[in-house]
Amino acid sequence: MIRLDQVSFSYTDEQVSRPAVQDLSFTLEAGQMVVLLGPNGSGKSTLAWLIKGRLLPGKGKVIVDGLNTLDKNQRRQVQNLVGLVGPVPDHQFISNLVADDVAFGPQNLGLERAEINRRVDAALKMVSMEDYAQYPPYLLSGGQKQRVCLAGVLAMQPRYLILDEATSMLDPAGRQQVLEILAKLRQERKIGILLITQNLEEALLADRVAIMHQGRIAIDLPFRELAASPDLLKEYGMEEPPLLHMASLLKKHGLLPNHCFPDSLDQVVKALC
Amino acid sequence: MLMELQSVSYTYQPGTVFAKSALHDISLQIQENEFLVITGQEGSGKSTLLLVMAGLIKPDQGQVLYRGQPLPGKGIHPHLGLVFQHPEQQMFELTVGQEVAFGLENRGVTGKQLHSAVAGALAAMGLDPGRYQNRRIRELSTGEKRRVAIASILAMQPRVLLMDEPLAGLDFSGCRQLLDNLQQLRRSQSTTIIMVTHHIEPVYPFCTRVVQLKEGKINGIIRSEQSEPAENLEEMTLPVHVQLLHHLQKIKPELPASTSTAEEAAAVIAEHWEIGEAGSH
Repeated sequence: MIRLDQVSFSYTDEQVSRPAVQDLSFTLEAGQMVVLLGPNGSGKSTLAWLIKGRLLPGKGKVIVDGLNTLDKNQRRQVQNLVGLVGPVPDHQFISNLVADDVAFGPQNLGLERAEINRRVDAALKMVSMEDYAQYPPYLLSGGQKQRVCLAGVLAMQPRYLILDEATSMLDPAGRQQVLEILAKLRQERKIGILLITQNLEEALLADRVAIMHQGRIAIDLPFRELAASPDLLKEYGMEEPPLLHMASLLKKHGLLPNHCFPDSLDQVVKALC
Repeated sequence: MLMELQSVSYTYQPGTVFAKSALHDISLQIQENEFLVITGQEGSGKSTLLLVMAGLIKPDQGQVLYRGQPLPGKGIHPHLGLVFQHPEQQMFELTVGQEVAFGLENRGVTGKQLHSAVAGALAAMGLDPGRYQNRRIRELSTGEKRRVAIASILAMQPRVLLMDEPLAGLDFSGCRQLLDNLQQLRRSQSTTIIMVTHHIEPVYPFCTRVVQLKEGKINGIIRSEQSEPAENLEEMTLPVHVQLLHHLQKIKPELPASTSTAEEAAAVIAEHWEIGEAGSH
């Protein structure tokens, strides 16, 4: 389990201290998926880096499977347990070929060549990029690059996975596919997932949805409860997901019953016809 | 007509094992002051098309005309401004004012002219020059940085602004702010906007047309206010309200294929749907 106990963190720049995370407590269990929303600058990426052990809390502590990131030796183990995929894929490539890039992490775990190859093949297959193994990353599109970055982290077989805006360049079908991969990882490997996004629709499969606001977790609720409260979403600068927004508008015109919270467009069409 | 693509094709790394046809026989006309959105699945050729329009990639076949003239063989046409993906990661100056001034200084602009162009570009992106000019870039939020990066292109006073995924990673208010600023820019300076994006929902009410690419070809085009049925379009990259209209048009052909907003779609559906009809079949 990942546990943050009253964690605070400030960025210090020429003696000016800017608090990014304040007195924050949060848990993520193995096999759970939590979606983290919040406006730009609310502290979401800082939270991700604190969990990964790249930033250390100024106050409080971050514990991952009993390991404290403040302890140098334990921090190394935490960094292996937690996989983090960032928003800008071009920052994450270090090799000239997709397969070599995905292999880089497992190589540094000191694994046998055959095991590395097996992991690379499996990871690329999982993100549907197996046909591009011998491609240079710079020839890929933005969305394809994001998939390769995800494969690189999957090949490390982390116990926890943090995706920080890592689906922002994917098309809707691609995003759906990544969500299906995440659901599979949760079920089959009991991986704990923290999905940082601006897209509330990605929260459909989550156990909980948390909203960060000014360095704190302002809301931590199951998706259904949050989606049924458009006013609460607006209060924190969020927009209702498009499908639910459409349903709300049709309800206002008396075309859909008030209890209807559709999961798909087909459900809306069926309810109308 | 402002811009015309005539049977444009482009292949990356031709003659090698990596050869990949990115664009195939694309013809498209763009009018002055349009807000054109280019969408489509990953790897469908959107970014390549934008680079071809900017003149940074020379097509293997066909040509791009700007006001009836072929684009220059070298460099970027001075009327065109290109905003790459994640432009906020490509800034290198210390302060906002220095960053926005960089391009103009390289064109030899100085003094009052430089100052007023920088202030004007910041204001066009909704950033108060008095408050922002001396601020350090690293202190800004992602949304603010993105707008500073776009302001640094606007300072060059382009007639056409070409943007690659400018909404990726922006929160709702950041998206809204940027789109409002772009709309204002179209109104006040008649700037033409061409945007590649997957974020179709927020941009749809602002755009004039959506061009959907598939495997390097134009799959279909839809106007944001279109009554006749839209052919061929893949639904996934269209806004939910347009997808819904598409489904309902099969039942009630008198419904339009598209409206600008979900609110308009709901109103037009209500108008054509008898109350009580819902759930009665």
